[in-house]
Amino acid sequence: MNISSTTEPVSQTGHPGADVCWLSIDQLTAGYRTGALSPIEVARALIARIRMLDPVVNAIVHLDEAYTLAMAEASLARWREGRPLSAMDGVPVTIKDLSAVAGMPKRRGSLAFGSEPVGEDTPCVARMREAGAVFLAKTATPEAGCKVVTRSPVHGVTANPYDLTRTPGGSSGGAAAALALGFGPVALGSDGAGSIRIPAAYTNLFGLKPGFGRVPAFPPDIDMPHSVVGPMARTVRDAAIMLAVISQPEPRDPYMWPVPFTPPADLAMPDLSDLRIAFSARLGCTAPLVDAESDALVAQATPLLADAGAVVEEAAPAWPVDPFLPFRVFWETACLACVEGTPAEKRRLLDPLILQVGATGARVSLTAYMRAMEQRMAIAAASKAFFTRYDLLVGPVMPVPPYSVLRDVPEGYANEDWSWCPYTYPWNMTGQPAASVPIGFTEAGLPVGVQIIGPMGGEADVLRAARAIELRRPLHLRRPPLLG
Amino acid sequence: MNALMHATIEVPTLAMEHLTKSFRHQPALDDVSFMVPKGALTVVLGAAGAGKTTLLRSIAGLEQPDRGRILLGGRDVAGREPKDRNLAMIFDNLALYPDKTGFDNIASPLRIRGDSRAEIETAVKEVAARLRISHILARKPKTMSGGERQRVALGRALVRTPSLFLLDEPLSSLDAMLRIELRAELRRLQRELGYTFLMATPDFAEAMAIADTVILLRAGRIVQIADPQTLYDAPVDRDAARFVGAPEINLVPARIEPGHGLHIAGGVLPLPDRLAALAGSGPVAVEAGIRPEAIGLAPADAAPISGTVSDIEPLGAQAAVTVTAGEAELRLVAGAADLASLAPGTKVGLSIAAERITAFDPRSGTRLA
Repeated sequence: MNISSTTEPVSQTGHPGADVCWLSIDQLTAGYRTGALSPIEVARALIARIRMLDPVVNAIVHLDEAYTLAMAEASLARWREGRPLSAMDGVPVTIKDLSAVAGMPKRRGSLAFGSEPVGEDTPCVARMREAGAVFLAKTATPEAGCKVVTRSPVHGVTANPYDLTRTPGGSSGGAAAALALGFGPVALGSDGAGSIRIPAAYTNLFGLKPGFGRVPAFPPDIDMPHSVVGPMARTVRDAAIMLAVISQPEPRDPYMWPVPFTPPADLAMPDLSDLRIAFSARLGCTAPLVDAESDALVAQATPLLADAGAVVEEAAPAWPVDPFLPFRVFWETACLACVEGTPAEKRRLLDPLILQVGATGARVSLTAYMRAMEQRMAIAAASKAFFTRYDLLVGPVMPVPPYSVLRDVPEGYANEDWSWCPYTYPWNMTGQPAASVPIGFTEAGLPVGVQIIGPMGGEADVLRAARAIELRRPLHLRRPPLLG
Repeated sequence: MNALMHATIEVPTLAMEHLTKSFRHQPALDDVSFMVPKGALTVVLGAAGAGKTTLLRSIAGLEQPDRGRILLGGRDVAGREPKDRNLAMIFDNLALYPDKTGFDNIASPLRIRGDSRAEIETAVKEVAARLRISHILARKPKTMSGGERQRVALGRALVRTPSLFLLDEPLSSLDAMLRIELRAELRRLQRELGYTFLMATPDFAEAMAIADTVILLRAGRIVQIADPQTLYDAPVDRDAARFVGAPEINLVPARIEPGHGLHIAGGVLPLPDRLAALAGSGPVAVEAGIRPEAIGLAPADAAPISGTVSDIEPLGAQAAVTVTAGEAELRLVAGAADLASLAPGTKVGLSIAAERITAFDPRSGTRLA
């Protein structure tokens, strides 16, 4: 094992990052507890940072200083009394604008919905509020999370902090750009086809799509088991702390996992000798678009995991049917549901892509839909069989590095076409946990992530493997060049 | 009268006694004992995951040890709240508030504590004078140099007059040049003002450069406590030898032949007494540890060991040259003058300073001599 390589200078910043904005959750709470830091001052510093830097990327869609400072003030009072509510008390967190936060608007990137504040937190947000977290801002999303980039009729387009001419990916691209610029240590994202993992991969971050039911939701999402909410962070540990909070039970969720999530005890330095890991450059999928540089970086995960003690073999699930076929049906009918869920007189305000794909969805026959359901179950069963032989599956997140911020999809593809991006959505159809971990940068300085997929209930092992890579590739210390 | 009664017995600033901590049966710290004398700079050196942060957090009171005692100024601090331990923790990045002036950054912990305006004014000015940063108190961090920011971060810790500074990889995210500059400055301040530092780092070069004493931590256990030179010259085992030094120490099989010499890398070296003592009457197999700088280039025909250059890796002004000699691969550091005549395939002779060779047990890796 060669972890002494962490002593190599990794930071690309030319001057000290002498700033509270890069502190981890543990460092923040250590500061609060010892009286060295104050949640109010940290929140103020981050709000000032958002005001200064957000115009460059357009990641933040709602900032309410009074709201945030009131939460921070309550946290400071608790820390002063020595009675913090949790390991996240006073920790600033951003929330993607698809999730409801009581007292804040929820626009979902849509012109069809107003900006009046909503009345009730969604369950995972309620758990963070109960844990004392400080809500810093809401982050940008394409309308209803419908794109691989972050562009909406309401807020326009979000840029990638590592290269402002590129997309940060989506749909949690606002959350990602915010984290990469140091707007808090953690962000709440959501993922229905890759929306946590894609922007994490494109902005040098860690993002975990938990398994379906791991993080309770209410009301249940019609898109289940595809859509879930989950943590995004600069470090694996911060994401694990956040997952432990947002996975707390919600009595109204009929599908939540009845088993509590416990962060793995050996997360600091996991020994993976208990794991048998499959590596696959294509994950068994049809890949019309490939990039040699991304492939080479993703392949570097294998020796890193082996160095941590894992047995790593080349293997991929044999899909009974191309996962793209059923996925397309669910994608089209989900857009239809989005259209149907909008008052008729407001539908013309919807993103044209949703209207276009929704119209295709309206023509999906019931027979075709039932067949897609059947195919999804066959895919889930094939994956289940595969994961009886392997503990984890590792491969790419994205076929290509971040592309032009002006485009919704890479050149040569139509906006409604998902076929070029085949590696993420299969795990939404099976409901399994999957994460993106930074693995490297292309020659042009663009981030590349590697995907780690676990079986149902396998979040702890996904986190352990992710940490094993992070230990050996401490890319979380690297900052966007625009920060100097 | 007993003379001892008049001697000043200096109570160490920090004493750890058998500290043990597990996270759900995963041992993080295992029977850790050491002392930090007043005014010393002690470095906890270890790879990521070795337990450095858990150790510092335990001292600060942020983790509860399962067993063992922590004595600060001779007093057991079990049950004492972190804010009442009279410690300062300095974080990665020196974490300042970027939108506050130097004054307000230093004042912030006193404001959290609720000190009066006048008390704060006095305390901040006093600390600033001591750190010689009075002139930058009105400025914001972005207009300060790296060294000035570091002084402000120290000032913010110092304003609460801690007895011990805990520094958790304070320079880890800085670029290499600045890190070297700031660590020298940190050392200067620490000495000048007589502070007591316990600093964690994964970087052996940093530890070597500034520590009075290095505590080498591996998998939650103390492997060795020594001054930097001793750690470098007499590492307790093979892994310690490999962790400290770059390019890495050469580890090659060797045989001690009493009365004959040290058989190594296809040649024979004179046997220093220290190694000869390891062998009784018969030969003994050892693993020889040779620092790259203990190997020199010599004319191929006159040297005790000869080989062929297999790789040259540039290190700036110098280069790491790998030579295949017998069964062994030996790395040495060559300067520009030598490099001109070297290329992969060049036949070279090697001279090795035999007195600098360490011998390890080939099986256990323990240092024998």
